[in-house]
Formats: sequence, structure tokens, C-alpha cells
Amino acid sequence: MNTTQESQALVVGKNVSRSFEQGGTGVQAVAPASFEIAFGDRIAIAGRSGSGKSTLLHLISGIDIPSAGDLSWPALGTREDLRPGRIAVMFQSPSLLPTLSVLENVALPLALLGVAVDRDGKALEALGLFGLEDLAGKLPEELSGGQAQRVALARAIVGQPDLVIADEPTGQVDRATGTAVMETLISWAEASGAALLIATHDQAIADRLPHGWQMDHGRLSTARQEMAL
Amino acid sequence: MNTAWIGGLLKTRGGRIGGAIAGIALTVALLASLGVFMRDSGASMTQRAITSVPVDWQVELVPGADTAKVTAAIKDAAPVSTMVTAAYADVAGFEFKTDSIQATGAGKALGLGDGYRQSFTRGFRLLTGSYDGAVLLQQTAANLHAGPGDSITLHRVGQPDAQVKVTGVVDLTSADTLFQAVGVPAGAKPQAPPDNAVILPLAEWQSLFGTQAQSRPDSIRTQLHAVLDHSALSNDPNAAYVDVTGMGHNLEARVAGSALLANNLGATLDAARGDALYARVLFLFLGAPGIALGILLTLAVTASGADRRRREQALLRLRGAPMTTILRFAALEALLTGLGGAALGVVLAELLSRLSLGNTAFTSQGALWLAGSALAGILLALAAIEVPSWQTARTLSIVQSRQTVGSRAAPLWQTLYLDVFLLVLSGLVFWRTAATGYQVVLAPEGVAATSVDYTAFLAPICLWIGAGLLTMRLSELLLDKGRGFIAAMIAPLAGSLSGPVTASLARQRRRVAGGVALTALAFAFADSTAIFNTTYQGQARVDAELTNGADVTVTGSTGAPAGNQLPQLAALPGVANAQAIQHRFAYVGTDLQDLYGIDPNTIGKATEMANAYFQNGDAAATLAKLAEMPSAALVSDETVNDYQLKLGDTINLRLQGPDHQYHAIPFTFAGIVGEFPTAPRDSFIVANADYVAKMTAVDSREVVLLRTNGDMATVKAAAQRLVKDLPGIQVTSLADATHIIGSSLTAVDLGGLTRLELGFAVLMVAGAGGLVLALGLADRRRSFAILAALGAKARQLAPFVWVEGTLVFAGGAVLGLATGTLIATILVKVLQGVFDPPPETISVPWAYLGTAIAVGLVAMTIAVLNALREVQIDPLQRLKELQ
Ligand SMILES: Nc1ncnc2c1ncn2[C@@H]1O[C@H](COP(=O)(O)OP(=O)(O)OP(=O)(O)O)[C@@H](O)[C@H]1O
Ligand SMILES: [Mg+2]
Repeated sequence: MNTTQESQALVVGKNVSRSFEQGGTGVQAVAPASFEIAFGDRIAIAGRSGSGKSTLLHLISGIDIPSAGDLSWPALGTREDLRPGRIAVMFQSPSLLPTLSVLENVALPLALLGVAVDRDGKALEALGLFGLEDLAGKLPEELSGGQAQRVALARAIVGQPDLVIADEPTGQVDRATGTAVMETLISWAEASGAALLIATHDQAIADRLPHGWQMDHGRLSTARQEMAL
Repeated sequence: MNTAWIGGLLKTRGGRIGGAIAGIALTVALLASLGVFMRDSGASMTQRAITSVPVDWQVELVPGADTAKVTAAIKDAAPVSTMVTAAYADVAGFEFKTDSIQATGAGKALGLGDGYRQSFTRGFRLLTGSYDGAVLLQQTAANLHAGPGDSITLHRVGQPDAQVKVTGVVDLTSADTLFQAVGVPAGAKPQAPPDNAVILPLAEWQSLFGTQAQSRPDSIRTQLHAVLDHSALSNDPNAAYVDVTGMGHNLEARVAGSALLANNLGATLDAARGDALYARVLFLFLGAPGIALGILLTLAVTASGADRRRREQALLRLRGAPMTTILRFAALEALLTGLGGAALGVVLAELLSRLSLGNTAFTSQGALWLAGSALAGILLALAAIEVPSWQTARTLSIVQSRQTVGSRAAPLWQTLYLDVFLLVLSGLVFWRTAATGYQVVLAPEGVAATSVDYTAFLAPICLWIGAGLLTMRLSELLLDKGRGFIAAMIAPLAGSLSGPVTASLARQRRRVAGGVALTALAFAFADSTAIFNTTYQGQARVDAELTNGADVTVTGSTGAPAGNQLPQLAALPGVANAQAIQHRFAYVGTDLQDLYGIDPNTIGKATEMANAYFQNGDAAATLAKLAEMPSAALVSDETVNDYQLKLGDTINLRLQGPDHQYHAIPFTFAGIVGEFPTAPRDSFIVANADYVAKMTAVDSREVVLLRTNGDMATVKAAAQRLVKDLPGIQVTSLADATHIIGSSLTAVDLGGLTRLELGFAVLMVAGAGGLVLALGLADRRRSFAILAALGAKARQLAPFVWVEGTLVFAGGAVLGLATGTLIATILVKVLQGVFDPPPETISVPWAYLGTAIAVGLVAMTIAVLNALREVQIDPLQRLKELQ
């Protein structure tokens, strides 16, 4: 990841907004927001359900396109260059390919990137970080919700991206397991220098990250606030 | 709630329901069309059989019987539309004196009552002159060298000679029937018709033979010839046969002791019954796989929605909907689909009936078929939709019903090796049928009961099903165990994704293998139907060519040989080749036979020389033998037996010379011939034309055979204009022959049915390859959305679809065509009885198969491209899929 100048920002948003038109009534999921994410940033996004967290993550990851405003990735290139490779996303909803085994799912980004050697080894290593080696041969339908989420996390980090975006990575596990998962993610990020952007309802999880963003009815505030849930 | 459900159903699953409706409509239409065709073909076969009979009933009066009483009895026993007297007298010989004397052996004089010629039109072909006075048989005219205007002498039996004036010459094609011995027990050796005969108006006959009847009553026979009222007969050949036989028995009971009956109509219907059974079997076995395919296709379409339905059901149950509600929804969906499909199918069947048969399917019998087919369609919908829902609801827990990749336990048929069992069974049944000489349809002469050995058809059926299952097993095996191989094969296309693509296919191997098998079955259906049809058409042509001689045949006589016009005939536009052959008469001992003088090296250019014509099964070798040895002659099996001939034996045949006398000419027995273009069904001789010309010193070629490369009817008309001034010359074409062949089965026009079936087969190929693929791919939208969200580019998604599409299409095409060819070979063998002579090889319709392959390929490509369009859908859509 040192191929790009670390002085440049990963993501820069200026008055980025996203609204959905549905049957004449518009919903503004993300009100005009400005933000910046740099190499090595660790950011938690907290907010109530429906406040626009997922929508913002989709915009930042380049999957969704803003309705207005400027969104750019100075250190990473154009929207087409982001995935697979530079930005990896772990989705809130189940997103494992049902016809591939756990190991094949985790190795998939490497195959998409055209990595020729030792894809399985790297995938196993990523699974190992989350203690999931034993599940390598299983099919997604055989996993619990929490296991599937962790497999999706392993798939997000396997390609050594510059920015990992995770939407509710601990949504389906108990607090202790959630804490452990976060520890793993943070130490992996520290070792690799990747930036983390994690959406969560769980203040305890959010507190583990140095930066805290807050979403409230589509409005983003990037200053840390203690929020009462 | 229900209307809302239907609305939602159509919105979310419109494509799949449309597919199911289309599948049901195809099944219903095919089933109904088959029924309508069966009804029509039965009727047309009965009709043809009836019109081919020269005389329905010949009732022979026992000498001294009361004619009026017998006449009344006939009218009481059956609805008679016409009845005319025919009288037969033995004649000791015929003689014609010019500068020399030509004489013949014994013969007959036939007296026909007033109006006979108007009521009994079949079997008389007036070659020259008119029916006003004595009309000579063609052979007799040739023997005596007499024609219209000549006075010939009849040597009456026990009476002085009498003179009659010849007014015409006739080719009596129904001589076998007219001169038959009435009252001989069935199975007795058929009597050959007399070689020499004269036909007289009844009044003249009576003045000539009235006294002979008194002095020698044994030399005289009197018959009443009756035409029955055909409108009263059933359209079904078997029912008509039973009716006519019953009336015959009734008459026999009434006139016992005073008259005997030859029930020609009954005998012809008897033969037609067997043919009709063959036709029914044919329609059934050509159509059944199509119907099975329609059902499978419908099931495949609904099954491809099973995952989704299961998920929906799980959701409904999570929300607390009771099972009855879930099942009611499913029943509603099934009813909607079934009614839609059935209605569409009936409309389609009516359309097809009007298009290919030119009349409505809605007759009383047809309506029954339509109603039955529609009902079957609705039941199919229930089976395809309601039953699986019920099963899912019954057997799966809510959690289980969320699973989508499905159970991996091998299905029961695989564990039991049902595919192998079926293939072995097919082989055994075929072997058994072959051992019985392919006696599939039994309609014993004179017995009302008929039987079809339906078990013989287990061979093609088991082969079809077994091959389909085996295709499935092999495809699954390849996708599972052959992962490495497939990955290596697709590596150039898929690159680093070949691993995931192969793994993904392997996990879906049951669905993919199902697609391959369905495509293979569709190809097998198309292939076997097309091959059988082409072989059948080809054989029908051979049959017609055998009767007519060639595409167009110009038949003259020794006095007016068509061969004189050979250069002009050969030069007609549309004529590819013209060959002149001799048609003479030769005495083999006392038996007068037809003799055909040919040029063995060139005759094959104008007409088919099939191997089956010759007993050694080798046309080329037989003709080569003729070419080698000028005196060589081919004779019939019967002659060989009668004279105990061995190859190389000399046979002396007596042929007419320029003096019109018969002279002995030595020939060498060189082989046995069973059938030959233009030759009659009984004994005849084939020899070298040059040798016959040299030895008889008569170099006339009576008949010219024309092979056309243009329109047959045009060539026939042109040839007719060319020879119109020659007395007694006839020009006939294949089209005339197909009518003469009458109720023989190859004369049944399968055209309409096969056109329909071939059309269906192509649709099925497209449906199986394309539709199933399209629906399967639609099921994987989610996977595509995930892949795209992970950053897969369009060209990276392509292999996932192309590889599956190619596998389904190529695997299906290769295995299906192989299976189809095998099935066609078996069908042609099993249905050998249909063909006369049996075909030498199957004929492969390359153009049709090419079309079927192309259509399958296009359908597959469209399905794949359509699936790939998914990739271009904007990210928002994809995200929705992920929610
Ligand atoms: N594709 C869409 N079409 C229409 N509206 C949408 C779409 N996606 C999101 N929304 C709306 O945008 C708003 C924000 O949704 P979003 O999923 O971003 O919330 P969230 O903060 O992630 O909620 P949660 O914590 O429940 O995941 C919601 O009101 C939602 O209904
Ligand atoms: Mg969310």
C-alpha cells in the first residue's frame, strides 16, 4: 500500500448526499455531508436504525453513487479502481456466495484480483485470524449468522485492502465475541496499516476506535460524541 | 387477499408462471393434436381401403339357384347401393388368323351386365378402343397380336367355334379379384387369374354361351357383384371390418346352399386394420416422448422456482400463516397456471389442426380429445405446483426450508442404478423382438381380434429414459469428480476464476445435470423423430417408385413402344435421366410371366435399385452379374422352387418373335428377384435387354423410365403431349402410384404429423436449452449481485454463465443426438412391418438437425446474454438484491 503517497487522503467527501425517490415521496438517507478518511484511520459510525449508516458506507465504497456533492478517492483512483483490491466491504446482510465453500468465499477476492499463487493459503490465514479454520470446508448455509459475518470479515481483509468497510460486523454475536472480533480487526489493521470504517449500534464497540462519527436522521457529524442509547 | 396474492404473484414470478403456462400449453396442444391426427388418419385409411376395392361383394350362384331369392337376401343382409350380374365361361382357346395363325391356351370369357362399367370403375384401364364389344386382356391382345377391328375366334367348350369382333384392349389390374374362385376356404393357395380373357357385354355373352351353359354347366359361373353403401360404415377400420364381416356372415346364413360369398371389402378392411394399428402405434411412439418432454419442461420450470417458493413459504409460516392458507395460495397459483396453459393449448391445437389438416379439431371425437388434453394440462399444473408445496410444507421445518443449495444425498434412482437397469432392459427387449422377427402388430387374417406387442416399444422408451438418467449421472460425475478437468478446460476463458466457477458449478451439479439431461432428451426427440420420418418418407418413395417404376413412367406396348421416343423424352426439361426397358411376356413352362429386359449398367440412373429387391441383398453384385453374362436371367423364388433351379442352370423361355409365334430361347439362371420397378407382385423375369432383342429379333423397348430433377407433374404433362398420338401409351408419375398403393401404411401421409412434431421438437430444444438456463440463471441473481458488489467486472462474471450454458447445450446436443440416432435405429427396426421393402439404412436429415442445433445454440446464447445483462444493472438494483 505504499505504492501511493500516504500524504493523500483515501476518501474525500464534500456535501455528499443521497436521497431515494419512492412513489413521489423522497427520502433523504444521507443529508449533505463532508468528511475525509486518511490512511490508518479507525472510524466508528454510530446511529439509530434507519439513520443512514449503511447508505453512507455504500457511497464511500463506491457501490452507490451520491445524488449530489463530490466524492473522490485521491489516493486510490477512480470509482472503477476501488473494488476488488483497494476497498473491501463487509455487508450488513448475508453476502456469502451460497454455492462456494467458506474457504472459496474467502479466497474469491484474490481470484477476482487475479492472484495466481497460494490463494487458499492466504484465505486460510485470514480465516485463522478469526479462529475459523475449522469451517473452511463448510457451505454458507451450514453456518450460524455470527459465523457467516466473521467469514465475510475474513473475506474483506484477505486482499490486504487500504480501507476495510464493515457494516455491523458484530450484529449477530454476543458482546464478548464481538469484542474479540473487534480486537482482531484492530490489530490486523495496525499491522497492515489499513484504515477501518465500521458501522455499529453498539457504543462499547464504537468506543474501541479512536474516531467516532455519528449519524442522526441522515445527518453526519464527524466530531466524537457520547451518545445515549 | 386472493386477488392481491395473484397480483403479487404475477409481478414477482411472471416469467416463471409464463414459462409454466407455455410448457403446459405445448403439452396440451401436442396431446390434442395427436388425438386429432389419429382420428383423421384412421378415417382416411378406412376411406382409402374402401375405395381401393374393385368389387365389394362377389356372390356366386350355385347352379340352379333362384337368382331373385339370392338378390333379395343380399339386399336384406346389407345396405346395397348397386348390384350387377357378371357371368364367366371357360374358353378352350383363342385364335386369330392373319397371314399366320396365333393361338392361345385356355382362357375365360367374362360377361358384364348393363351399367357394370359405371358402377365398378376400379381395376379397368382401357388401353385402346372402347367397351362396346369384345375387349381383350392386354396379354391376350399381345399373344394374338390382335387389336380393335380384328375378328377373333373363341374355341367354346363342347360347342362349335364362335367369332367376336374386338373393340378394345384393357389392362385388368383387378384380375386377381374378378377371376378368383369364390368359396374356397381361407388360406387355400390363391388361384392365378387366367392369362387370356375377353370381356363381353352380358347380352352378347349370353348369346354366345347360353347353349354352353346348358351342355356344360360346370364350365359356367354366374355371380352378382355388389357395391355396399359406404356411408353406413364406421370410420374406424376395425369397426368397419367387424360390420362388413358380420353382414357377410348374415348373408351366408340366408343363402346357404344356393350362393357363396367373396367378401372382398371385408378382406381389404382386414388388411387395413393391421396398417391402422401400425399407424396408431407410430403416432403414439413418435408423439409420446414429445408429451413426456412437455411435462418434464413444465416440471423443470416450476422446480426452478422451488427455492424461492420454499423461502416464501418459510416467511409466511414465520409470520404465522396456517398451512391451509399456504396450500390455498399454491392451489390458486396451480389453477391459474393450469387454466391458462390448457386454454392456450386448446387454441394452439385448433390452430394447428386448421393449418395442417385444413379442418377444425372440434368434431365430436376431437372435442373429447381436446377436453381430455385440457384436463391433463390442469392436472399437470397441480402436480407441478401444488404437490411440491404440499411436500415442502409437510416435510421441512422452517429452518430447513431456508436452505438453497439443497441436499446432497444421491436420489433413489442413482443408488438403485435405475438408468443402467433401464438400458439393459431396453437391450433385452430389443433382442427379444429381433428374435421374433419384429412381429409387432398382429392382425391375423379373418380374425376379428387384433393385437399389438406394445412391450416391443419398451426398447425405445427404456432407452430414452435410461439415456436421460445416464446423461444426468454422467454430467453430475463430470461436474463433481471432473472439476480439475473442467477448470483446466475453461482456464483460457476464466483465468484465475476457473476455480470458483468450477466449484460453483459442482455445487449446483444436480440442477446443471438436469438441464443437460433435459436438453439431451429434447435433442433425442428431435433427432429420432426426424430420422424416422426421413427414413419413412424415403421408403414411401421407394415403395411408390417400385410401383410406378420411376418418377415418371411412359408405358407402351410392343406394337407402340415408348422406347422409340427415348431421345425426345430424355430431352424434356426437368428430366435428369431416361432409360428404356423391355416389357414382354414369356412362357416359363405353361406359365405366362412378365419379362423385363434392362441395361444393368444404366438402369440405376433412372430408378432406385434397392438391395432389398434381390434375394442376395446386393443390388450392385446382381446387376454386375447380369452385365457380365448376356444370357443371365433373374427369376422369382416361386419359379426356382417349381423348377428346382440351381445357379447356372439353363432355362428355356418362350418369347414372341417377329412372326408373333412363341420361340424357345435359352437363358441362364443367375439369381432371385423379389421385387422390381413396375413389376407385378407375382412371378416375373429380369434379363438383359440386348440379349432379348437379339434372340427374339424384336428390338422394341416398351417402357421408358424417367428420373426428374424438376417438377414431376410438369414432366408428366410434357411426356403426355409427346406421346399422345401413340395408341395405348400411358404416362404415370409417383403421385399416381401413392394413390394406387391404397391402404398400405407407407401411403399414410405422416407429413402433417411429423411437421407438427418436428416443430414441437425444435421448440422443446429451445425451451430445454434456453428456458431452463434462463430460469436457473435468474435464481442466481443474488450471487451475481454479491460478485458485482465485491468488485467483479462484467468479463469476470461472463464465465460463470457461459460455462454453464455451453455445458448444458454441448453436453445435451452430443448425448441427445447420439441417443436419438440409436432410438431411431431401434424404431426403424421394430417398425419394420411398416416398411415394404424394409429400409437398408436410416436416413439422416442433416438440414433439420442443423436447424435444431442452431436453434438450441441461439436459445442458449440469448439466455446467457440475457443473464449477463444483469451485470449492467445499476448498483442500486444490486444493493436491493442484497437486502
Ligand atoms: N434502496 C433504497 N431505496 C429506498 N430507500 C432506501 C434504500 N436504501 C435505504 N433507504 C432508506 O434510507 C434510510 C437509511 O437507510 P440505511 O440502510 O442507510 O440505515 P441504517 O442506518 O444502515 O439502518 P440499520 O442500523 O437498521 O442498518 C432508511 O430510511 C431507508 O428506508
Ligand atoms: Mg444498516
